[in-house]
Amino acid sequence: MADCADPKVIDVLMVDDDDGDALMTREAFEYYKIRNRLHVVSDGEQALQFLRRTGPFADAPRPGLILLDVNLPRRSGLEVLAELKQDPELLVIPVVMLTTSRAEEDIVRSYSLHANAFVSKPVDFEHFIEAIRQIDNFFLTLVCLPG
Amino acid sequence: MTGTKRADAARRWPLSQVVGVAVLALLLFSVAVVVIGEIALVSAHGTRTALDTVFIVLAIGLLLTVVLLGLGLRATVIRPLRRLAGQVRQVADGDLFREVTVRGPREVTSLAADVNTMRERILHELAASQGANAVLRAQAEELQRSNAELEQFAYVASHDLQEPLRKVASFSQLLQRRYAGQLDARADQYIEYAVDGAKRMQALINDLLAYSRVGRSAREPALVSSDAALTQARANLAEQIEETGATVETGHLPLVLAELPLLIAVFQNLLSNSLKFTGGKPPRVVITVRRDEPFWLFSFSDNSIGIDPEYAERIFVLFQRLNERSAFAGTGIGLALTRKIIEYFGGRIWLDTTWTEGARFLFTLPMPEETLTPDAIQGPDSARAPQDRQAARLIEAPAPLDQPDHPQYPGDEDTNG
Repeated sequence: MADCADPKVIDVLMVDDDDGDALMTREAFEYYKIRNRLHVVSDGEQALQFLRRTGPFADAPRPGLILLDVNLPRRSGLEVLAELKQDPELLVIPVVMLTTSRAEEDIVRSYSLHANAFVSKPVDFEHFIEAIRQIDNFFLTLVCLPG
Repeated sequence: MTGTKRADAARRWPLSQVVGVAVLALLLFSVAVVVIGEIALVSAHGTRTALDTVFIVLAIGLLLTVVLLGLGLRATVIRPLRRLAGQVRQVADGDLFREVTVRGPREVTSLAADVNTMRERILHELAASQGANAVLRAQAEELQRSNAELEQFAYVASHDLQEPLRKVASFSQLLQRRYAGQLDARADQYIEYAVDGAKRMQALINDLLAYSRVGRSAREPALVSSDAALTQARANLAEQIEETGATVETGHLPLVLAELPLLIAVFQNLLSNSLKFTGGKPPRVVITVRRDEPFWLFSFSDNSIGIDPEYAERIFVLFQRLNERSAFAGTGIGLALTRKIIEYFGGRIWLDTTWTEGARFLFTLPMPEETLTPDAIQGPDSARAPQDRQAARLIEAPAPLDQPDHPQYPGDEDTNG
């Protein structure tokens, strides 16, 4: 197996207004001893500021993976996704839609806006942290990403 | 036959013309009488007599009477009748508000009055039916609106209710995981209940969502193989089938008008019940089908603990359960969903209360038009060799109804052991 695993720590940006999910994701990182750093912002505006290093996020690192919730306050996750994928600087960063929704239209729209994956948040905690681990493992260990 | 001919003649000869011809005939007749009489008198006497004069006066009188009679008839009967006919025709052409007013003999005016009464009655009934139609339309709209609202509600609620539920379940589990060993057995039990409750609530919501979704898809029912649906349902339940050592016996099942995912759900729900409510022995399920045009009638029998006939209807109600949760898991949506799906396709499902070896459900699904026997399509007049029909039946419905080791339908001799 070709190993693209980057020895350095990768930054993961989570865009979710749900503190509980953010906490659970942190727990998952901690539980599986994922070395990557998790950053959480709670809406689309902040996410774009973070990615473009503007406003309060002037010193933000460039994330290697974005976990994006569909249901966000003000600008929806899908709007944020559309904007990301139109920005030549940002479109190479893989985006995983991580959401409670399992609605067919959300899934279809996400993929047509070039989301890299759509994952429905599992109800069960065990399954939830397992999902986080697998996402992390797939995008940040298994696959080769542009530098 | 003569009656029809007479009616035809009447239609061809309007009254005015009949009267005209009659008057003309009388006129000709009187002229002929005068001429013949004159010739006879002249040849008999050679000269005119006083009798001649009397005869001529009489003949002219007759002539005048006939002419006057014709004119009078025309003025008093034919004209009013023609006017009446014209007005009635206007009414017949749709102008129901046109009042029929005719002066003339009593017969004609009373006919006009009758036509008016009829016209008013039609107007009245039209108004009543239009009113009823408007009420129906309003009710249909209201029903549609409330239905849409209900579906929207179920859908939104299902989504938005998942979120907090996920939190309850997840953090209870997190609590357990984090503080395992620091809590006593009782605390672990509390957490278990919390998690179990949240998971059950989630199952209910998902089921409710599935229930509310039946009929929401824009797809039209199409030709679907019930065989394929059953096969998929068996595959979905393969694990339980193996665990319980269940056997499923069936012949070839026909094509029906349905939607595949929903038909799979029908078989899966029924099958899952048979696997769940076992009385300890390995479940045995027998599925047969026969014609009940324009439907296929399916029979789904098992050797489960069965269902008390008293509950034959209640089992189809949403979230109705007959057993305590500790004995049999489940949300109580399976049969309600099954009935909703089958009724959505235009069929029916009911519990066969005559079957006592277990539970038997009978359900109908619409038969595709091309599967209907010629009798059903063309009516009893279409003659076709009976052996042909028999052959068609064998090809289309080879499910083993006649074999003694399969359950029979109610009314049949039950030879099943």
